[in-house]
Amino acid sequence: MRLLVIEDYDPLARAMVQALRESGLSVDHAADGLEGLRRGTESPYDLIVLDLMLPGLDGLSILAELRRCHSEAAVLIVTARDALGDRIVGLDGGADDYLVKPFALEELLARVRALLRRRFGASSAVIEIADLRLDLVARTVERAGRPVPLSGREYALLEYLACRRGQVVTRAEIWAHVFSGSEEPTSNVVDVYVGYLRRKLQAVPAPPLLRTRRGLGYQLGAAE
Amino acid sequence: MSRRWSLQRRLVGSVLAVVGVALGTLACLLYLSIGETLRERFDEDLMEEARGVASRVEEGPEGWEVEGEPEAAERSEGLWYRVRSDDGAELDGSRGVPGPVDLGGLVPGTAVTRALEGGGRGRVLQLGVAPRLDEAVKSPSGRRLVVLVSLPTAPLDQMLSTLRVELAAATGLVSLASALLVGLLVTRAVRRVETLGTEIDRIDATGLDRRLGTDALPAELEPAASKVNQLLGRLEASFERERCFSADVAHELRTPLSGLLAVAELSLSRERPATGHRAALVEVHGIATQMLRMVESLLALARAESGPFSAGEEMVDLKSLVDASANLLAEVGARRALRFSNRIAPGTCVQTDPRAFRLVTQNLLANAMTYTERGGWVTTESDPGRGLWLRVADSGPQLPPADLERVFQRFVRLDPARLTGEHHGIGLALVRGLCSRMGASVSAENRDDGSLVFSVRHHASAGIRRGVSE
Repeated sequence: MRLLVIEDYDPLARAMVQALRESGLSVDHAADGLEGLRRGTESPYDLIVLDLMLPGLDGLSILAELRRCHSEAAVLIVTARDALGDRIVGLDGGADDYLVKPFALEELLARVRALLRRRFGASSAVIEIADLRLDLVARTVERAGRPVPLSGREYALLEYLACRRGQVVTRAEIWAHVFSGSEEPTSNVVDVYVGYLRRKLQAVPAPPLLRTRRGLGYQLGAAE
Repeated sequence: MSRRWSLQRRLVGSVLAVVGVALGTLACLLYLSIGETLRERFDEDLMEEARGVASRVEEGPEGWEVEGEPEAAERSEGLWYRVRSDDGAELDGSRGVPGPVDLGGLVPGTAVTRALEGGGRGRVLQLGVAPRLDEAVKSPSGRRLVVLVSLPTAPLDQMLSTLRVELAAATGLVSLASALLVGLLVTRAVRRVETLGTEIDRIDATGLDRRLGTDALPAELEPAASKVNQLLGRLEASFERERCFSADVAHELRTPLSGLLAVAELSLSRERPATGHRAALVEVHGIATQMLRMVESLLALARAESGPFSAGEEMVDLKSLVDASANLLAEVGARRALRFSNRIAPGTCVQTDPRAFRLVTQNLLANAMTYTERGGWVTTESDPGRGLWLRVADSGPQLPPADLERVFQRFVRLDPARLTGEHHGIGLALVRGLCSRMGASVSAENRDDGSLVFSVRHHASAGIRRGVSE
C-alpha cells in the first residue's frame, strides 16, 4: 500500500513516515502544500495523511483539489485544530477520518489500517483466499495452516494483491502502490518480487494461488 | 459599619424643609393680613355703634333730650357705652354690661384695646360728635357730646384662633403631601439604580457580551450606564484577545507535542540498535529546545506587553549584534540559497537594552530568512543619526498592503502554515512589544523595487557613537 504524508513539521513527519514504513507501507512525504498537491494528483496513493496548516497551500484546499480530480485515495486529516466545526468541515470536505494532535502513534497506525481495509472493501482484519490466511494487524501469513515467512516488501506485495483478490493487477499498479515513489522504477523488479513471493507461497504442496496473466499482470485467487 | 446617607432621605428631608418654610411664611403673612382686615372692620363697626349711641341724644329747646333704652336686638352683644356732655355730665349709658377697667389716655377717634371689667378684653373708642338738634331749636348752642363705646373682642379672637389652626393644618398637610410625592418619585428613580446594580451583578467573565439597558433610564443615569457599557465592550474585546491567545498557545504547542510523543513512541515501539534510540533522543532534544524557545518568546512577549523589560541600558554595537544573529541563521539562509549582506558600518552603536534589542534583531532576521523567496537576498542597514536603528530588507515577496500592519499582531501568519522553529507567529508581535519598551517603533513597507523592508526607528535617536569597536 502506498501512502503520502503531507506534514510540514519535520520531526513529526519523520516519525510518522518511519512508523508507517515499519508497518510495511510504502510512504512518501511532502513538506508543503504545493508539493503535497502535486504528488497527490500525480501518483495513485491509497491513503493520504494530511495536515491542515501547511505552507504554500492549506490542507482543506488540497483536499478539495484532490476530490475535484477524482482522487480515490482515502484521506486522514491530522491536525491541531480540534473544534467541532473544523472536524465537520474536514469530513464534509471529503476526508475519510480526522485525528487531532497530539495523538498516539498506535492510533494513527490503526486508523490507517482501517481506512486501507475499507478502501479495498474488506471489513475484517483477516483475509482468507483458499488455504491462504493473511492477518493484516499481526502482519502474518499462513498457507495450509503453516506460517509463511515473508520480507517486508514481499508482505506488502501480497497484501496489495490480497486486497484486490481475483482482480488482474498490472505491473504498473504494483509499482505505484507497493514501491515508494522515491525509488527508481526498474524493468523487472516487480517480476523479481512476484517470483520470490510465489516460491514462498508454493513452499508447501498446494494448488497455485498467484497466477501470471500474460501481457496483463498478476492475479491472486480466483475471481469472486 | 457606619450608615451611608440615603439619597432618598436627603431629598425628602430637603423638600419637606423647603415646602414647610415657604408655606409657613405664606400662612403667617395671610394670617396677619386677614387679622388686620378683621380688626379694621371691627373698629368700623365700633365707630358705627358710637354714632348710633350719639344719635339717641338731641339738643332740645329745654336742654338735652335722651331717647328711651334701645331694644336688646338693636344693640351689639356686649356693647358698653356712655354719652357725656362736653361739661362732663353723663347723659346716657348702658346698664349691666361690663365696661373697660381704665378709660385714661384715650385719643378721640382711635380705638384701643383695653381690659374689661369681669375679664376679657375689648376695643374702646372715644368720639366727640355734634348732637342732633330738635326742630324747635332755632339757634344751636354749639355744644358737643363725648361718646365712649366698648365691645368685647372675644368673637374676633375666636375667629383669628380658628384661622391660625386652619392655616397651620393646611401648611402641614401640603408639606407632607409634597414630601410623599417626592419620596415616591425618588423611590422610582432609585429603583432604576438598584436594577442597574442587579444587572451589573449578573455580568461576569462569561457574560461580557451583555449590556445595560439604557432605554428606560432617566437622562441623568444614561451617561453613566453608557460609560459602563463602553467599559464592558473594552473588557469583552480584551478577554476575547486573551482567550484567543490562550487557544493559540495551546494550539501551537500541540504540534511539537505530537512530534515529541510520536518520536518517543516510535523509539519504544520495537527493539532498535543504540544509534536508533540516540537519533530519537536527538530529535526529542531538538523539539524540546524549540518548545522552550517558544515558551521563552511568549514570556518575553508577556513581559514586553505588561511592564519594563529590563532595567539596564548600555552601548550596543549594531554590526556585531547583527553578525552574531545572522550566524545563528546561516544554516537556514544556506538551505534557501539566500545572499545576506550586513551593511552596517563598524562601530555603529546605540544606547539601549541589549537583551531586548538582540531579540528584535534575531526575530527580524529570522522573519526575513524564512519568508524571502529561495535565491533572494537579505540586507541590514543602520543610520542612528537619523533615528533609524535597524533596517532589514529582503527581496520579497512583498506583503499585501492590508497586512503590513496586521503582521505585527500575535499569532497572525499570512501563510496558512504552521511555522516551525523560531517562527510561531509571535516573533513580529514580540518585536513590536520590545520596540515600544525601548522607545522605538517598527514598521513594514513595500518598496517600489519589489523589496520588503522592516524598519526600527527610535523617537529620540539618542546615544549615537561611532568607532567603538574599530
